[in-house]
Amino acid sequence: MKSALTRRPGSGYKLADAMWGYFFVAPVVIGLAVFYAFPFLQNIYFSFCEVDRFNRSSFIGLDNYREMFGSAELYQSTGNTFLYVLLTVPLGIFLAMIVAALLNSKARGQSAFRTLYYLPAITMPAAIAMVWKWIYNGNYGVLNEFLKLFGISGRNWLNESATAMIAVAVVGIWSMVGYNMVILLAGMQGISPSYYEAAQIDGAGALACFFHITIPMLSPSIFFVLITSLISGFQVFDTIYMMIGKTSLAYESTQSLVMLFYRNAFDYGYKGYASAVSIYIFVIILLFTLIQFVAQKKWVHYE
Amino acid sequence: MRSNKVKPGQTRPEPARGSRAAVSPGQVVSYLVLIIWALTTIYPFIWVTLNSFKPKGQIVSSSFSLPIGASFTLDNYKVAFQRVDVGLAYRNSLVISGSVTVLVVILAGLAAYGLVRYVFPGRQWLRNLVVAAMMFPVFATIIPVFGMESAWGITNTDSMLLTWLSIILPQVAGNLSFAIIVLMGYIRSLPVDLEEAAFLEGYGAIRIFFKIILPLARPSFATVAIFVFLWSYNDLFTQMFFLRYKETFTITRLLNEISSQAGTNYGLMAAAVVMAVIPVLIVYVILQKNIIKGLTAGALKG
Repeated sequence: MKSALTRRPGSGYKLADAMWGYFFVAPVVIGLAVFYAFPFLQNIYFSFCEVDRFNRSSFIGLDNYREMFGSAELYQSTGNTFLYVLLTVPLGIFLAMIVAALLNSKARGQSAFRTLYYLPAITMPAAIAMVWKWIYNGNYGVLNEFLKLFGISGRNWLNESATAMIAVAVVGIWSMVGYNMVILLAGMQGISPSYYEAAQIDGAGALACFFHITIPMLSPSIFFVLITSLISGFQVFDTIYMMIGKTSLAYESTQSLVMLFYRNAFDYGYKGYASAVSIYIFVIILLFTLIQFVAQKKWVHYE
Repeated sequence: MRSNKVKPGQTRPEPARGSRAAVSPGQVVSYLVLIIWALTTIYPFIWVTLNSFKPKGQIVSSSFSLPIGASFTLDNYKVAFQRVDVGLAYRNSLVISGSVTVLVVILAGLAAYGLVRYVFPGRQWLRNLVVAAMMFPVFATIIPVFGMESAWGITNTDSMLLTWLSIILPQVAGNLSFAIIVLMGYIRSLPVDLEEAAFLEGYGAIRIFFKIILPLARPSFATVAIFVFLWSYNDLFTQMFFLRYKETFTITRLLNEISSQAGTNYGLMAAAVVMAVIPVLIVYVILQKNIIKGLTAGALKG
């Protein structure tokens, strides 16, 4: 008797093996159906409803969407979120690239540096936000104390709409560089040295090597990092939620889309409306991801 | 490039042989950049740790001073354990994140094994379903999930067990896809011979999974477990939704509470941050090779 293990895929199945297959997969399928597929569909339906605490819903058509697209808050939050993505994603990838390139050319201390750089990525965002909130504090924050050394009088960074988003974005960049760097460094280490040797024989300098060999060969890793950064950037919640209090004067100018969702769902209990907001965020993320997947054909080189 | 002693490009292919005596200005600059960035990542942690051992007043007046002699105190930690009960939050975090990790590893392991080694109708469809589930962010499902669990009567109850269950279930579901994808990649790379031999010995499917697959794939199970635990421990969004009573608060949830209520008690805040972060940092330093290897392996496949 032969088991499923010894047969090539596609050569048919035996009932007994198929039963075991279903048995192994069943708990996960049920879990994903109950906690993903069904709730996701219900969420779409909810966005056309008024919903109470126990998910009793009454259909109200497009009212939630009408209200949402008619509110200035939505556009403000959308703008804030895009600004956050624009501030963090390019810089977060650029800095990670520089650090990875420097680490890649120096063998000594590489793994120690890598360990340190990855620290922010494994640390609880809530804790990171608390520490930075303190660093930025207008009265006894470290940043202002530091600036005082140079005779610069600091500001109340998180309480002014001119600076709050930039301050939050700095924390975002600081948190993401480590993760991006580890991915990019792994990609760089996968590039065969023979390319560089060949380039040197042709007399190419370090910069030329970087732009003509490293970047193109690394493009799959860059693409991966770009996609993950975009998706998490559009979902920014923890840092802003923890750093900008409800009483902050910069509250409106930093409220992200997921915060808008959270407030409506959690604080106000406007679940139908919040569902509409969540669909809106989902569609934005989906669109940007699709655009990236189409655009990658132009610049990502797979070997 | 302007330096004439060592061209940076020349040392790149064989960094180990790079000249040690002659250090070019370019190398000095790049080491400087690396060290400065390393300082920005580690210094905030050191600074908070130092401040957590100082009296409240001194933290505000001189946050750079060292907690030596008279200015050393454990008061902040005492307050953390007495007034806000960090001990309880530790327990909640460990129970919740520990259960999530164990459940994800077992369920995802079984599913990955089934999807890789068994042939059955609908298999490809199920694989696609697993990948597709990664696409759905938590905010697009959390309202119905919360309502569903309320209807089951497991949210907002006095029962600690039910409250734990109410957050464990969605967190498990949220991590299954990632875990299955990583584990499928690893199990696929294992040779089938051992499983065949065991089968001929009369091992059943479940025994093969626990006696052969689990031990062989231990490195990738470990990676998955580390990441799932970290994700669950650090996650604020889901916890804000499901943990509403103080007795059920985890470390992350408690930090949010302290941050919004302690106001200016920076001593307590520092101690709380240290206690939330330090255990993770210690585990990270011990397991960092696993973590980084797993991370890059996942990324290359993803």
